[in-house]
Amino acid sequence: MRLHEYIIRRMILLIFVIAGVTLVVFYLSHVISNPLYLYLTPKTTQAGIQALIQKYGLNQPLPVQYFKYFIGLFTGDWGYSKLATQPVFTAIAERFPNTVELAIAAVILTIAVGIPLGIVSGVMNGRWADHASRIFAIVGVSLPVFWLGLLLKIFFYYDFNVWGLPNLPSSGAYDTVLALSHPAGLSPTITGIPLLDTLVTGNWVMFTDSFSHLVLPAVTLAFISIGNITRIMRSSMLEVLRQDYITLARSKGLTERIVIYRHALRNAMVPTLTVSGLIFAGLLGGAPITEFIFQWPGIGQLSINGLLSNDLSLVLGYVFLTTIIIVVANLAVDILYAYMDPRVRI
Amino acid sequence: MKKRMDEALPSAPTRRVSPMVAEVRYALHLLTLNKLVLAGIGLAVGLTVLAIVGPFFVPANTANSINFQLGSQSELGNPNIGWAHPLGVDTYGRDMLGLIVLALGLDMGAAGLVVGIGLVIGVLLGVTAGYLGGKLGEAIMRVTDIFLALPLFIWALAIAAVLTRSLNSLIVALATVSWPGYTRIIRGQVLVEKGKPYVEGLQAVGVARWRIMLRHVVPNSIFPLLVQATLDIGGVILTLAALTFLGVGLTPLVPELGQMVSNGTTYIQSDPALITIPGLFIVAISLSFNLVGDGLRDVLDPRLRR
Repeated sequence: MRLHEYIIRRMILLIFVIAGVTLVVFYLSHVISNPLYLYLTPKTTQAGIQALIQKYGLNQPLPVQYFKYFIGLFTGDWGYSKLATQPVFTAIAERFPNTVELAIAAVILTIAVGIPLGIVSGVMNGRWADHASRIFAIVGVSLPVFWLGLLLKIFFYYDFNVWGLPNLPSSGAYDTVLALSHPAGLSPTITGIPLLDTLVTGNWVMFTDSFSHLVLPAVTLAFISIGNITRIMRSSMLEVLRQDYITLARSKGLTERIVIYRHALRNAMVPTLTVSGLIFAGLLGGAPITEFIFQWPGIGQLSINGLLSNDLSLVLGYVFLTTIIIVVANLAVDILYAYMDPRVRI
Repeated sequence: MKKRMDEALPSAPTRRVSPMVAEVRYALHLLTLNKLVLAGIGLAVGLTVLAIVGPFFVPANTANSINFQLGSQSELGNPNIGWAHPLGVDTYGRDMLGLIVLALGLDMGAAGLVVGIGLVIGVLLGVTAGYLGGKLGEAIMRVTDIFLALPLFIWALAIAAVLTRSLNSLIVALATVSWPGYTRIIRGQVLVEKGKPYVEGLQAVGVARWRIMLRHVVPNSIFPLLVQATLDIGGVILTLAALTFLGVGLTPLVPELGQMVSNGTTYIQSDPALITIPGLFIVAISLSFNLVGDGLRDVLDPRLRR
């Protein structure tokens, strides 16, 4: 199969995935639950209900409703969110920059800690440093993210408070009171990402404040993914170190340092960076649990609140967005692999 | 390392055993060489025994004996509570230890069921796709691809949210996303096994196709699946607890570990033990299965054995 055929095939699959996901969630939300609840208030009269059914086309056959919804997804009409009291698309777009900020911070932390740990583990195979980092990795993947988040919150917020230490803020993306009282206020939105906006406008008070809010959620998220990165870095390092060209490099009399960092690392990095990319994509889809625990105003928290208050159009919109992000990221990775390794295309 | 393993090899079997039994024995033997894996096995067995035997020692009405007065002074080590409740009481004044024992059974049972359902569906589809191939096989794999591309947590969250609040809904939500990985793994394995000379030999002597498949190809393809399934139990426990923690799965009184952590957040400041204790048990389950799964993978993957 040629590369472009492979890409086209995957693109077709992608459409099916998106259609499939939205179809099932749409079906469940319209059959098991009733979308009418979204629009009802205690004062809605019988006539009002009829009017609502007419207005939103709820009496049309389900396939027609789904088709309209599906078309709407691509034209920016994602329905109306009762919870956010604004269109779903706007509600998600407004909160997305906060999610991006958290995702970037978490991925930087993950890579900065996970990759060196993996290298050490692979190079020191079988020795104590390897064992230590393997234990760290396996504990990391075994921790429930919500529990870790709560523990960090208990320790760095509540306990530090009790001991009179300067505590780390544990909710929100910035201090809203400070933002209101500070003469410069929260900087005008340029990108919408608080950390970036305050940095660009040189608003140091709000910058440090945003940064301190970012620490706990970012550490929580990073801790969970460091284990994955470390394991993959370790195994690909081991794999590469077994290769003939490494033996050749050693036999040429190169120092171990150069063999590892110049020759081995370059090839061993490929799978690790791929997985980092996928982790980042996953985080862009929002980290619902972490955002929920730290009251982080991102799309994950929004969707959880939507779920808890039965705001199904919001949940549907969120599922659609995250599916697209993750599927496109997977596709990008696969195409990259197919480009580099023709065997994948079979 | 290699030398030590060779020395520790069991002596040559005096009785003829089938290659598969020998393989399993050798794998188990390698497994016991790793102390971490042993610890994992010990922990997993201990928790399983506690989950099965424990409920017989827990008073029948533990989950429903609500005592708000006791719950309001739930701090660990509170003299009013004392030895009747070694791990204290939860926010509803129920015995924490009893609840945890009940919750262990519920969590591990649900995770086992989810992985079990996933395995059955995965093996059936994967073997069909791999052994029969053709149009049907192609169709199965395309559907599997679609499911593999789903964002798991979001999917389970959405399904659990639209279904009624019950353990069954949670199991359904998790099971719908648990099978595609197995399908892909076993199909690959079956494709490899199918091409081996012994299959051709069996066909030549006239053994029925289904018999070759069930008696020879499937047993030889199953090992990588076991590794994945063991690792998945740890993962499913985490996802299950996360769903109930977020409040999409169960009602607050159900003794389930994620739900208990969620209940505890009300007293995060005054009594963090309500969060830490149930959480520690989630970590214990997930860690033990991950350790065993990791060990199994090292042992069963011939490339890592060299």
